[in-house]
Amino acid sequence: MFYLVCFDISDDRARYKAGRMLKGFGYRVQKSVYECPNMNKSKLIKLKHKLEELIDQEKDTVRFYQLCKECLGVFDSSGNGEQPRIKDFFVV
Amino acid sequence: MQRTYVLEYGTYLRKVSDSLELRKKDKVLCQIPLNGLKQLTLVGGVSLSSPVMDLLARNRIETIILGRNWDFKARFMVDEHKHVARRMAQYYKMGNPDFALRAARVLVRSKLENASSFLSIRGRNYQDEELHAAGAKISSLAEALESRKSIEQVRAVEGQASKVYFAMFPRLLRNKSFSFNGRNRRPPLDPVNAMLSYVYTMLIMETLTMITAAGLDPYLGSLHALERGRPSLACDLVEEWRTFLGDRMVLGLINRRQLKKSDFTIRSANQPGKYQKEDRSLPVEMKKHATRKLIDRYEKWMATRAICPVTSEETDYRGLMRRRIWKFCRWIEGRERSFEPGLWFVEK
Repeated sequence: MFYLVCFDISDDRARYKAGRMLKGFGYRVQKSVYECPNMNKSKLIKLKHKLEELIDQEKDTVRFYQLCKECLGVFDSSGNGEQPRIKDFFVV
Repeated sequence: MQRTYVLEYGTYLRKVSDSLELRKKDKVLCQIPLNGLKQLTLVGGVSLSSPVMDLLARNRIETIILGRNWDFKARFMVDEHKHVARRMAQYYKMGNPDFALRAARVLVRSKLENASSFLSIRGRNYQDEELHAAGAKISSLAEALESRKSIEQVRAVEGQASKVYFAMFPRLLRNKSFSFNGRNRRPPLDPVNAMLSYVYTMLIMETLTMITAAGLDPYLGSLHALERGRPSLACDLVEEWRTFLGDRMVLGLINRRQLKKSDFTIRSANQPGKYQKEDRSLPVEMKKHATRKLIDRYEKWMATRAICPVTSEETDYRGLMRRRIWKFCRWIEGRERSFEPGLWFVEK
C-alpha cells in the first residue's frame, strides 16, 4: 500500500524526531510531507503508534492518505520534484 | 524499495534512525528507508559503518557486495539455524552418488531442452535452417543424457551442447555493431560476453538468495563439484535459466538497440599497452549509465508476468524460479517423488 503522510507539529524537537522516524518508512517529498510505498496494515499501525507518542494530541495533527495505483498514475506536479517512487527497485 | 543497487563509487552508507543515508564527500546522494528494503547490492567500493551492518543483520536484509566489474566478492549471511532437517536431507541425498547423478541429469536436461527450443523458435522466426539444425542437435544430446552413467559424462555432454549453442549465438544477433566470437569470461573480452556475465551474476545472486531462504545449503551441489567458496547448488540450479532469462534478455537489449557500442569502454588485447592481464584494467567495461539501463531492464524483465507451465498459476519470472527451487527442495526432502526437467518455453 502506498501512503502519503503529512503532519503539522508545533514543537521543534518533536517535529525533528517525527521526520527522522518517517525517513525509515519513506521519502521526504516536502517539508512535512512523506511518501511511504511498501506499507501494510501492521506497519501503518506501528508508524501511527510511534507518531502518537511524539505529538501533542491537543495541538498537532498527522494525516495518513492511502493512494491506489490509479491515483498514483494521474500524479502531476508543478515546480521541481520527482514522481512518486513506486518502482520496487532503485539504482544509485 | 525492495531492491536497491548502489553503483556510485567512493560512497558510504550511514545509519540515520531507521533509514540509510548514502553519502559522497559530505553530500547526501539519497536516503533509503528500511521499510520494505529486501536486498541491497553494493557494487565496487561502498563503505559501511558498523551500525549499518548491525541494522542490515537485524532486519535480515540480503546484502551482496560485488567488485568493480560485478565479480562476486561477499555476501552478508545471517545465521540460518532453523532448517537443520532440510539441510541434513540435502547432505544425505547429495552425498549419494546415484541421487547426485540424477539431479545433474535433470538440470542439464532442462538446460539443453530449453536451449534447443529457444534455437528452434528463433530459427523459425528468422527462417534460419542452421539454428533449427543446432536446436535438433542439442535436443538429441539431451536425449543421450539418460544413458550417461557418471557426472563426468553428464558434464561432457553439457560442454558439447554448450559449444554448439554458442556457435549459433552470432546468428541471433541482429545488430551489426555487436559481434560475438565464442563465450569467454574472467574477464569477458567483448561487450556481448560482458553483458552475459553481468546477467548471469545477477541470476546466480538471485538463486543464491532463494536457496538460502528455502533453507538449503547453496554450497553443496551435484553438477558443479565441491569447490571452496563456490555456491555449487546455486550454479547448478541457475543452469536451466541461463537461456530463458539471461540470454534472451541480453539479446533483447542488443537487437532492440537499447545499448550501443559506445556504451562500453573497450581496451583491446591486440593493441599493446592498452589491456594487460597483469594490471587491473578490464578489457571491456560498461559505462555507468549503461549499467543503470541494464539493471533497469533486468528488474523489469524479472517482473514480467508469466504463467507457470507446471502449476498454471500466474506469477512473474522470479516466481517461476522460486517455484522451481521449492520443487527441488521438496524432492530433496522426499516429499515429492520426481523432479522432472522444466521446460519454460510455451509454444504459442
